[in-house]
This record gives sequence, structure tokens and C-alpha cells, in this order.
Amino acid sequence: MTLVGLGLPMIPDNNARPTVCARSATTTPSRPPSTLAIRPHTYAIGKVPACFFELLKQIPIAIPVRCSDPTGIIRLSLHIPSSSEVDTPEGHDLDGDTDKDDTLEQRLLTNRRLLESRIKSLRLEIGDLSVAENLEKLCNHYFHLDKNNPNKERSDEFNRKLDMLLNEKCGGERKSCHEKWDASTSHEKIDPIRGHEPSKLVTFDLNAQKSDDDDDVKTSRHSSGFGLIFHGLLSKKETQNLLRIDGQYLIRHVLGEEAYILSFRCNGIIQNFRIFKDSEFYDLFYLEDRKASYASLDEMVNDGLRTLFLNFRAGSYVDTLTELAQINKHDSMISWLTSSSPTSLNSPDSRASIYIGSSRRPSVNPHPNQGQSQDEDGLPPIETTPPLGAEESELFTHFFLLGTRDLGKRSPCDLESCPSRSRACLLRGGANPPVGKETCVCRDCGLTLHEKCLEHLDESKFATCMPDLYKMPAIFGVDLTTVVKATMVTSMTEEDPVSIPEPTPPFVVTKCVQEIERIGVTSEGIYRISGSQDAVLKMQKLLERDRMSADLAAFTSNDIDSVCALLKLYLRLLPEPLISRDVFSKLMEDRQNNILTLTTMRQTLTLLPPAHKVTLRYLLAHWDRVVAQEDVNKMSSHNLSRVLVPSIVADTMTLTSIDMGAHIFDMLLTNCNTFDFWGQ
Amino acid sequence: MDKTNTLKITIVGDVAAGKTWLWQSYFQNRKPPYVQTMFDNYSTSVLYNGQEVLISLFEMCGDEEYAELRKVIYPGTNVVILCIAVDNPESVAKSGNFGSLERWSLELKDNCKGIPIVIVGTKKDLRGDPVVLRRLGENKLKPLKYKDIIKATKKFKNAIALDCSSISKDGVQDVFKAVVKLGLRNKSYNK
Repeated sequence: MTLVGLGLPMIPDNNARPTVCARSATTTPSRPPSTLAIRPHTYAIGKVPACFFELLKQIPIAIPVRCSDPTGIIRLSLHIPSSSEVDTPEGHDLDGDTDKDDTLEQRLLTNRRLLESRIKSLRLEIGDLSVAENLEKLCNHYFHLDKNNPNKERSDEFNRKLDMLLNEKCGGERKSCHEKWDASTSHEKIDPIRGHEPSKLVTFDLNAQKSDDDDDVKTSRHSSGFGLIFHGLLSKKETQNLLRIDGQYLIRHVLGEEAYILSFRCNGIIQNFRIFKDSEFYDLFYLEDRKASYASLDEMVNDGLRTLFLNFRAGSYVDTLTELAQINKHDSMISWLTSSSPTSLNSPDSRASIYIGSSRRPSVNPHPNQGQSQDEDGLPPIETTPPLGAEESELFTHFFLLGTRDLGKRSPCDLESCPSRSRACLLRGGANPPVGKETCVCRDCGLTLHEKCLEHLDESKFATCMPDLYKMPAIFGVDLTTVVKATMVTSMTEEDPVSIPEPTPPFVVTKCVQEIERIGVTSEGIYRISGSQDAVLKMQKLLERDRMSADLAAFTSNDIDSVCALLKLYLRLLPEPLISRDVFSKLMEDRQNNILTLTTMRQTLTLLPPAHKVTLRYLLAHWDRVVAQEDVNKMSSHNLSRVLVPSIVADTMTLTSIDMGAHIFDMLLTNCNTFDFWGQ
Repeated sequence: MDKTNTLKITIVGDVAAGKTWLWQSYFQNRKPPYVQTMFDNYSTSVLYNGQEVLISLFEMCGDEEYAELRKVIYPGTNVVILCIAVDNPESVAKSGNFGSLERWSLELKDNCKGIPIVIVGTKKDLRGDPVVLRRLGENKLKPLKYKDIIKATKKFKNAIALDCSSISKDGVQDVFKAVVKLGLRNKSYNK
């Protein structure tokens, strides 16, 4: 596979450019030659150096071949003959030039007509008339000056106008670097315009290709950037005509598109990519998806060819693999797989699957059961299912967040049958993976899957969400559902691996409550008096380190206030408070409308996620025992509710919301003994 | 009445430090029940050096959770009363950063720059209480002495130390005398 930069051979070989440089350098010794060299970057990308037009006059045979401007970019291509054609060596006196003077005027005339017609057609082509007009004026000037053998003043004037025009177009960025440029040149030679017909260019180009491929490769390497391979406006057909050999590429423009298009031929097919350049410095190229940037165009094409070649050869192989893995490729309604009871339990009743039409929905839902309540697909809502069964099944389901992590090569899909785990796919460098790039991560157990692998989750061993308590990075500040799941799973495997455990509150809560009740709830100002910050931090660290096996009793030394503070801290750090935000706001609304009764409260509380429900129930029973000792510990339900409200409800609060929250919680606390909040 | 004679006094301190007791026993002559105060506001006028001074008291719950909410009441304060319960020596903990006194000094530094602070050791009568002594003795602690409260003033820039007992009303009048004096001085400085 050869990489050939197919530039229109305006500079057929490397020798042509040096002659230009040398020549201009001799005419104006004040300018360093390097600035006079035609820099492909500068003019091809839309910044026409003003000296370019001067160069037109200087170079013996130089013609504007193509003037294309869809985006305010003036693009002029040059044809510079190879050194063999130019028989005037550098520093030659004018003798050789004056010999041809008689033909010059005729040439100029034909030149002008051709150019004018070209510009007219250009005006039809391009919507932006002003550019074409400017160009026309410029050319008029240009030929006018040529005809009349201009003196220095006029050429200076011309220079100024030119400068203005270009400044208008190209912005003030380009300084009038050519001011000192001596434009009084009497020996311009202009060839008749040719080459704006693509056919001519093609033949010429192909001849060059055939004659010396190696040389061409060199030139293409030398001309980094858009320089020579930029072809201006080109249609697809023209491109097809131009690109005949695999590996050839060119850059073109299409009307109405801002981006440049890189077309190259691979396996007999011409591929088109829209390429972008780093806006400021034009140093980096990248494709639309911005996945990778390349320092040069060659690099980009190299990379592209490699991947395309691999796709061409390995594609069928990977496809068969994909079929074997039975991955459904069509992008249908994504099933948001939620349920499957633990593998040990096979009753189909305890399953509830939720299907969500849009793939973006799950990430919006903060809680699985809110997803259910928002369900519009006519699936059984949560109220109709038996509460305990629903809770259990929901506690064993994954909670996927979509698109949270970019599944690259580093973190492959966890599903064992995922085709991206096959060696062939990894060999291909992960380009164009057969499964979608969309990923989802389970919030609770960290299972990472491709979106499309979700459909096959049911059959895999990961069907149940079983987060490992000891692998979790933290306990404090982690979502309550996660900890409840982990606590459940751990107790299940430890004690009785077969039966389904009752959903239990997180172990932090149970441990704290057990400890508080061991020391005794009769302590005065329990939950109110702030504990020692030091002890709380120590206990928090202990729980984070030892998890389930932590022994709080050895640590507390009967310091009940610190244990209470620890419990309050844990509840306060929950990302979703114990009484979740939406439930609390609904309760507040009801209270403001004076319709808050025990019945409405019970209805609202059913909206709580199961893990929250379990924990709240457990804690309310405990707090009820605290209030029962009101005479001794002086903590009435009124007191306790005011103390606990900031830990239990949402974190953004005002005085009124505290008052209201305290009132609501007071109501809950007073009646939790007598009224069944959790029944149907 | 002259406007200059209005003082805003903010009372802060740990939970159950006796903030409500301090002013209610003095101004209202009553013993408040054991109830957590969220926020309370009281205004009255006192005679100081023959002139009438209108004082408005702002009391805010000292719970850690309410720190954000507490910021609301600080602006415009002339004097801050910081209550420290004598029977709660952990608040002036030796282990530096975890004592609540440290927390208060940070909070007041943030919110009340340059405002005089009166640190009041409340529940002075409990210093000799056998129940308290036994409870603290379990953890090898002792009730705070007046010396400790004076030590506590070092953590603040502009603070004086006093102690009182709201039950026996011992020293409460001194507290409010000092508060009004400092408040008036602070006001005249700011003019």
C-alpha cells in the first residue's frame, strides 16, 4: 500500500520552488528568501499573502488556475514549470525576457479574456458576489498595469489597493508585509490560462505519477498541510476521475460546506471524510468525531488506511464472531433491564421488568421506583404488586446509568459473551466496535456493560445486582440503596445462602441503633447534645475500615451522644436524604394546602424507594422508643423532630421549611406507633 | 428614641448550653422548658448609664447542621454572646480541632469580623454538682473553671470572658451590662 499525495502538480518537483525563491530573492534583496517562498500553508488555507500577487508577476509562467471561494477564502493555484521548462536561470538579465515581449501583449489579452470569463462563471457559482467582484477588479488592475508598462507609483497604488482588498477578506491578521516589495517589474510573462478544466490536470497529473512515483511521494511529504493537495472546489465526479490508484488522496471543497473534505481511495472505493483543523494554528487535523488528532495529513491518511485495511480484511471475521455471540445489532427500543430475582429463586412472579422507550430516560431517573411511577407503557405500576415482593425484586435489580463512562479499551464490557471481549476486536484496536459505544454502569455494583449487551444480561451470571460490601470504596456518603443491597447480600452469603433475606437497613444504622439502645435511651438530651467530634470521626473511620465486622461497643465508652452524632452524620451524608426530596416536597405541598392527613401521608410515603422505606421504618421504631422515655430524657417528639429534621430531609433549607419539616416529622413520629404507614 | 441606642445582640453556642435560659431568665424571669430552640427573637429596652438602650436579641439553634442557616442572622450584629456550658468541657477539647470552640471561632471569624464577643460560661452552679462531677469523672474530665473560659478568649480577637448561672441569676446582670457596654462602644466606633 503506497501513500501518494496526489497534489495537482503545480510544482512537479522540488526544483521548481527554489528557482522561484531564488529569483524573487535576486530581484528584491531586501527581503529574505524564506518569506518569498510560496508557503503552501499561508495561501492555500485562505490567507493569501499579498506578495503572492507580486509573485505572479515575477514568475515567468504563473497562472491563476482556480479561484474558488465559498467561504471568503481566496484560493489561487499556481502552475510553476519544472526547472527544465524554465530556461532563465536566476539572476539573468532581461535580455531573454524582452525577446518575447511582442508575444506578451497578445498573451495578456487572451489571458484576460479567459480570466474574465472564468470569473463570470465563478460569480454564478458562488453566492458571495463581493469576492468575485473584488477579484475581477483586482485582475483588471493587474492586466491594466501589465499592459501599460507601469511605473512605480501606479504599482504602489495597486499594491495598496490589493492590500486593502485582501485585508478586507483575510482580516487584519496578515500585516502588509510586502510594503517594501518592489513591484516595478517589467518582465512579467504570463502564460495563457489553462488547467481550469479538470481533464487537463488529470492527464498531467497522471503522467507525473507514472513517471516517478518516488519523487512524488517525496513532494507529498514535503508539502505538509493543505498546500498542494488542496484542489479547491471539486465535485465527486471530478474526484473520482482524479483518484485512480489506491492510496491517493486529495483535499477538496464542496459548495455550501465549511469543512474541507479529504477524499482518498482505498480498495477501489473513494472515501470522503470531513476534516477539521485546529482553528488557530492549523497544526492539528482531526475528523468530525474529534477522537484523534494528527500532526499532518499524511499521518491521518496513514492511520485511516490502516484501519480501513483492517476493516476490509478482518471485518468478515469479526462479523461471524458477532453472529456467533448472537448480538442483536439493530437499534430497537432499549430494554432497561431491571429485574431478575436472585438465581436461587426462580419464581417468575417476583420479577418485574421495566421497559423505557427512550434510552436517555434511565439516567434522568434518580431512583428505580420513580422510573416505575413515571412509566407510561401501561406496565403494572408499583401499587398493584405486593409491596414486599416488589421491594425484594427491586433490591436485586441493577440500576443502570446510561453513558456515564466511556467504554474504551481499558474497561471492557463485563458481560462474558460480549463480542468486544473477543481477541479479534481487541486486535483491531477497538475501531468501530460491533456493539454500540453507548455504555451503562450499574450505580450499585459497578457492573459495566454496553448498552446493547443489556438484552443478554438475563442469561449471564450478572443478572442479579450483588454489590460486595467489602469492595465498595466508601460507606458514608454512598446511596442508601447501594448499602442496603450490599448489607443484604453480605448477610445472605454469611448466614443462609439459600433463602432470600429480609431487606434490612444498612449496617451503619443497625449498629448505631443497637449501640444506642445498649447504652440506654434514657440519657438526657439524647440526639440533641452534640457529641465529641473526635470520637465521631474515629468511629466513622472504624466503620469504613471494618464494615460489617466493626465493633462499635468497644469504641464508644458509653458516649451515647457521639453515637447519636454518628448516626445523624451518616443520615446527613446520604446523597438522597432518608425522606427523599420529591417525597418531602410533596408532603410540604400537602401541608401548605392543608390536606396533609395520615392517609395522604401514607400514600406519599409509598413513593419512597424500598431501601429508604425499610430504613425509615426501622429508625421510626427506634425513635419511638426514645420518645417513650420522654420523662427521663426530656426528648419529646417535638424536640426530637426538631433535632433530626436537618439530617433526614433535603439539605437546602430555610427557616420555614425547617419548621414545616419538623412539624411533618413530628406527626410521623407521634403516629408511627398507632397508625400503620406501611400497609396498603 | 435615638437610633444610635439600638443594639443587635446575637446569642450563639452549643446545643443545650443554656442560651435560651440566659436571656429568658433575665428579661422574662421564667424558666424555659427543655425544648430545642430553632430561632428566637426578643427585643426590650434597658437603662444604661441613665440612657435608654433598645436591644434586640437573636438566638439561633447551635446545631452543626444549621451552620448555613445561621449565617443569615449575623449581619448587623453589634455584640455576639457565645455560651459555653461549664459542664461540657469537651467543647474546649484539648485535641484541638475537634472542639466546638474551634468551630465557633472559625464561624465567628467568617461572619462577625471585628465585632466584640462575650464568652459566657453558663451553668456555673453545676461546678460543684455531684451528679455532674460523677458523670465527668467517668471520662476523667472536670467542669470548666473561669480560668478555662479566659483561656478560651485567646481563640478570638475581641472577646471577654464571664460566667454566670441562670438558675441562681448569679452574674447574669454583669453579662448584659458588659454586652450593652461593648455594643455601644462598637457602635460609636463604627460611626
